[in-house]
Amino acid sequence: MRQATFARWSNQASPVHRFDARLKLLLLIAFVVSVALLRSLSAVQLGAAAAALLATAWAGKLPLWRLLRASLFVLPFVGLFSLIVYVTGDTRRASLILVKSYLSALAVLITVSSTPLPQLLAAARFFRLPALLVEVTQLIYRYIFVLSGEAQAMRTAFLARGGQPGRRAVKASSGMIAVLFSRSYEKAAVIHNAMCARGFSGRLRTAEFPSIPFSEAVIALGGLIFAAALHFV
Amino acid sequence: MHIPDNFLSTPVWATLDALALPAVVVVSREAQKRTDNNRLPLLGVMGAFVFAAQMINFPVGIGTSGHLVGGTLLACLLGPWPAALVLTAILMVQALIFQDGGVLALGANVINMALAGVLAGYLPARWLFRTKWKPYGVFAGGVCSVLVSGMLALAELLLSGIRMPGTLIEVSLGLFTINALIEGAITVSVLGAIERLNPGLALAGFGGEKTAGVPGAAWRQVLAVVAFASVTLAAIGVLFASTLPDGLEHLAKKMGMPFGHAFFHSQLADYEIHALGKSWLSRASAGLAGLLLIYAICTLGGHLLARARRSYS
Amino acid sequence: MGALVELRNLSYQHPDGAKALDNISLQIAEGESLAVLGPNGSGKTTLLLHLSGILSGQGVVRVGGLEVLPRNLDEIRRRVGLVFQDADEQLFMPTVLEDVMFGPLNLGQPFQDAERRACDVLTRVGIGADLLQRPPFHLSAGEKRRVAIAGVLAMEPQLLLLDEPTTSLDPPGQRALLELLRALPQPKVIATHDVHFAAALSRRAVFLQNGRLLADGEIGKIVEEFGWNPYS
Repeated sequence: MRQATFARWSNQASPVHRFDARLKLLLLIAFVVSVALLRSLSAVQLGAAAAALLATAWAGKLPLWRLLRASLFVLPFVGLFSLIVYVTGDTRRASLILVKSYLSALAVLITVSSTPLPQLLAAARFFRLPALLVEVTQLIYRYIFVLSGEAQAMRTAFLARGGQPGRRAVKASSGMIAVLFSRSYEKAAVIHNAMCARGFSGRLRTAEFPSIPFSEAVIALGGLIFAAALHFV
Repeated sequence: MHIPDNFLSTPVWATLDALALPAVVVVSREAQKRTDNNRLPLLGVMGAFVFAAQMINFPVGIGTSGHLVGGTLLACLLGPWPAALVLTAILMVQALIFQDGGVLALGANVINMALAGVLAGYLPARWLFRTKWKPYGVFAGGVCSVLVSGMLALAELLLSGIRMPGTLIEVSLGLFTINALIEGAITVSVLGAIERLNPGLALAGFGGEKTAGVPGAAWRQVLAVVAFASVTLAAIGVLFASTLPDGLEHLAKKMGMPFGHAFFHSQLADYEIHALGKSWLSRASAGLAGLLLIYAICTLGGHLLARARRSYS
Repeated sequence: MGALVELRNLSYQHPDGAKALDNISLQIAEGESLAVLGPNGSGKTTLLLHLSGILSGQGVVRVGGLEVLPRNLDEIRRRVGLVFQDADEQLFMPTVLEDVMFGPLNLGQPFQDAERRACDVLTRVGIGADLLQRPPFHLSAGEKRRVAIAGVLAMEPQLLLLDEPTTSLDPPGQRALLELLRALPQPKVIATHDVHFAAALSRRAVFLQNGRLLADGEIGKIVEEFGWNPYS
């Protein structure tokens, strides 16, 4: 799971990590919306947006070079679309899309690298995202890596026994998925037992947010103003 | 098929986000009704399972390999509402952690894949569930699910003002069709293998539906189908219109007026020359035949695998 | 009688008809630990699930004088702590701290108290403060096992059930686990294949096969009677 390795950075300590997750979510949305609404991108705007992102990443003690490189991974797919736009003659829009997508990807990456996903989900829950959706997402995130590891192990075992990609592999793949399903189903049963054994009553109660320090509120306000001001620079 | 940010125009992504939010609340509520306490871990684990299953490749020859998308599979295993919920959760994780799909475009992606896609996957399977054509229903479900998601995505992109030439639209539709057939084949194959390992679980999403006794449930289903069909037809309409010069402007002018004979005639006339050229048709047929062959191999293969497994246990 | 655990004629059938437990009768006195030995599929895990009230079959199961019935389940879960074989399936919350808090919160404790208790217990099992906010999949097998035990201890049970606790642990991990369990005052029921581990914690053992209790006595004798020592 190459794309998710940066999530391990989300457990460090830094001012950005400590920042209230609800505010971080708001700022992320504000930034991405602001970028999305830009119909053109001057050098100043680009510089300001990039500087803001890099400053945040630096304050979060995140590996800058790694982040910049990881954001490039968005580009091949985006690039394909962008190429289509370019081919239809809209050169300006094509390059605009590329740059904006890179900025958005970087913003999301920085946010997720400095905030564990469960915290982001709790923030979304605070903003009234349905509880069941949030809980299911948390469980999915919890068990993706476990199950992917098992899937990977099965593939390795298949290849180690001389499995060649090809016609025969198709039925083997279906079989592997079926076995993965069986294991997943049993796992779910045990998890349920484990929940009941400790008194599960239907809702996964999660941490409450502490109150927001004044300094963070000020910074958040500044961030929101910056996102709006990006249009007037 | 996951639409990234900065491609949809602001009215499009904003409207879709605005539509998706209450839809997600409704989906959550309906899924909750059908989810006892002991199903919560199942929903989570099934979501993780789909992720993991997507890692397993299905080589389909000609140098390509497909993988499972999972909407129809989830709908058969869990029922449509929990499946929609789980797929929404999956899309959120994909957008945030794996940079697959945009954050603002989540509304669009949720509508295309978690709502329309799941519904399109569920209905054919449901209709043929009690007949001997059950596997065909599942296959059709897989096909429809991917096709509908793809068409909606394409329509949204076109509505956002991205002018794609007609041939490109055809190629995209062709690619969607190939992926759709792959999805159908894989879903049937996997579901069959699951059924043989765990009898009774594979189509658990259809049994014991609590809506049976609820008044007004039938009307709601009809309404859902009608709404869904309208949206799909609208999308198709947009796709057709886009292949014509000024097609979209033409369509916009016509909106609000009943579709007359003249409208259809003018639209189809030009499109006919464009798309139904002989080479396109023969290529498509060849591709279709090849894929049907692969489907047959998958089903047979799944059957043989289950028999082999039984002889070892 | 004062027995901590009492099983009388406990039988249980799986939904598909297979007999998992067959007429088991057994008593565990206060302060006494017990090892449960037997081949795979003999019903060891099923027995533990009955003791913690997750499954119910025919016959009587009593813990601390209280019968395991639906109306008593809340109290039973408070009294009996079950540590599952696969720690990953037991640590389902996003962080270590939240997972250990899960039990106390479900018992109705206010948030601050639950948090304090969780921190105390985690210190007791040897999990440092730097791991509190970690997601469980970043922990080693030994750490996961200890967090799972902490999660159970946080409910202050009277009886500890452990299902194959040494699974996936390397020798130092096994040693650390042994020391931890030795230091806990609660009596333990340990289902395991690791005979030496069991013998270090308990003098008494029962042997299950095909759901039936074949023997009950001193652990050394049981091991010899059934040839349950892997290396001799």
